[in-house]
Amino acid sequence: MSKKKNIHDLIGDQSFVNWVMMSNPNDIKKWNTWKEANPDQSELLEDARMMITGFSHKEPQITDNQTNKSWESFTSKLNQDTPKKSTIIPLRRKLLSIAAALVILLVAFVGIQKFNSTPELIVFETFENETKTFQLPDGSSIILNTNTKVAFYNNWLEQDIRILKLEGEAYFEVAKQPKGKIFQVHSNDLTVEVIGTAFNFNGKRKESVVSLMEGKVNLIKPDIGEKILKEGQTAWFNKTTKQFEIQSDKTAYWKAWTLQKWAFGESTPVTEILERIEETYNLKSQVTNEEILKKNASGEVSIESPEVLFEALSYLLGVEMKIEKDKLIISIAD
Amino acid sequence: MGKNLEAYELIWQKVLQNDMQAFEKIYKHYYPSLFNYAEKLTKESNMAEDAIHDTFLYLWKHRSQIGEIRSIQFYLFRSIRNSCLKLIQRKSKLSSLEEVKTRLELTILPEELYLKDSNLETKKLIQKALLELSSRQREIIFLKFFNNLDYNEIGEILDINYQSVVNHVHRAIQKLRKSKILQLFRH
Repeated sequence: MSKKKNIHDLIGDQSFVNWVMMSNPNDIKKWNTWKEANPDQSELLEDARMMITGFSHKEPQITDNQTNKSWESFTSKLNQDTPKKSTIIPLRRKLLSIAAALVILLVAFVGIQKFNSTPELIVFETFENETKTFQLPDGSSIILNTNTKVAFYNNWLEQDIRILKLEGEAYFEVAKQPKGKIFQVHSNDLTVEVIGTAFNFNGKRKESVVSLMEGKVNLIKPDIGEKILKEGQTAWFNKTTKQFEIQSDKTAYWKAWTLQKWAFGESTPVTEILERIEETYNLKSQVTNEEILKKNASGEVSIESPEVLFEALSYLLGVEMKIEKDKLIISIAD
Repeated sequence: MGKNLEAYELIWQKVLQNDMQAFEKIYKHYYPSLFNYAEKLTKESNMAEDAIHDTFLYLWKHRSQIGEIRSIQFYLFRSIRNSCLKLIQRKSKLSSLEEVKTRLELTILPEELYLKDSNLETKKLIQKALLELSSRQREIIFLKFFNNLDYNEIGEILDINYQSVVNHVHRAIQKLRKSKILQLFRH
């Protein structure tokens, strides 16, 4: 038995396994003999042994509490699926058949219908590390950025003014609205009225910023004024001058997050970048040198992870970025 | 290397008779190791939880079609991995499952191993050596040594052939031996 063996010969041989596990005296003898006769293959033997026994590891630290909670939420998901479908349809069918039979019951039917139709709120939301795309009943689509909520009532399609409430930031591609229907998005401080377009609505800041890629929108500052935005324009309301400020040709910057990147174009000031970091990562910045605030960045950076982003930014701006105690500390690189 | 196959496969037979309590037993028994695996793949506890829910929802709903299961652990680990891949694909908006598979990364931490001594220097050495393995090698080691799946099952879970699985582990062990940390593991 002095033929050179390979790992497969050993692992696949039940007698070898028995030797490792010491479960069969004949096999123990057989392989002990082989081991002595083949000292040059001792490493292979050890490797094969380890591949069968493995090494000691710790059990995952998952509490009974977590396990039980998981089971609870699983059962509620399970129960959500079936009963819903089976209760609604029979009820409707039942009502319809009764209405067809008697006039009096027809009145009751109308009464019950009204009672049953208090509109329900539909909410789309995203959390810290995610962006998600949703479809609206009229065919429009929205991409929600991190930590964002969009809400509307389930009778949205029938309303003359179709209102979406936005908390956070989203990119909209709005389908052409039928005659007589208006599409509006409301943040806390601003309403955007849409006439069939693609735009980015950043409601994460004190004054919302809207950037129009295609079409036409009307910005409505409640009780103060309105402004029609043209393609390629970005606008926000300036509380001090009580006017809308317009920025041209920066739509690529405002939309870039939908492509997992930030696009600075020819030049984007550091102050804007720091604001963006704060609203995206919940990280306030502190500069060690005022000169840093006068800097600009150009080009593009990926936002697939904060580490990748900060490294790229450090390089672009010639600074060092460090996170200390929930703050981003920025100093000039040497 | 006889595995104790009987217990949970028998409990599954009760599930086929619509026994929800039996289903709960299976869920709670495998949850910790499945969650551990899913979290390592997706890096997010929410996604890991979703993957587990998706898998068990499917399992319950289609139990009659699925019928008898030879190895519950193998079935669950394979399902979880597939659920995780789908969830990762959906979230990252990568165009193909292939792309998700190539970018998959599984980490093993020194804290998860029993070491002969656990000072910081040793941990750093082990950490470095583990990082020098490929993610595939780590995943196979994780499935084999941490979860006791056999090489055939691992091949089916990862969709690679048995010889490749064995070769991957062998190379990993040789690498660990070369970096002199193999002796630090307790077996």
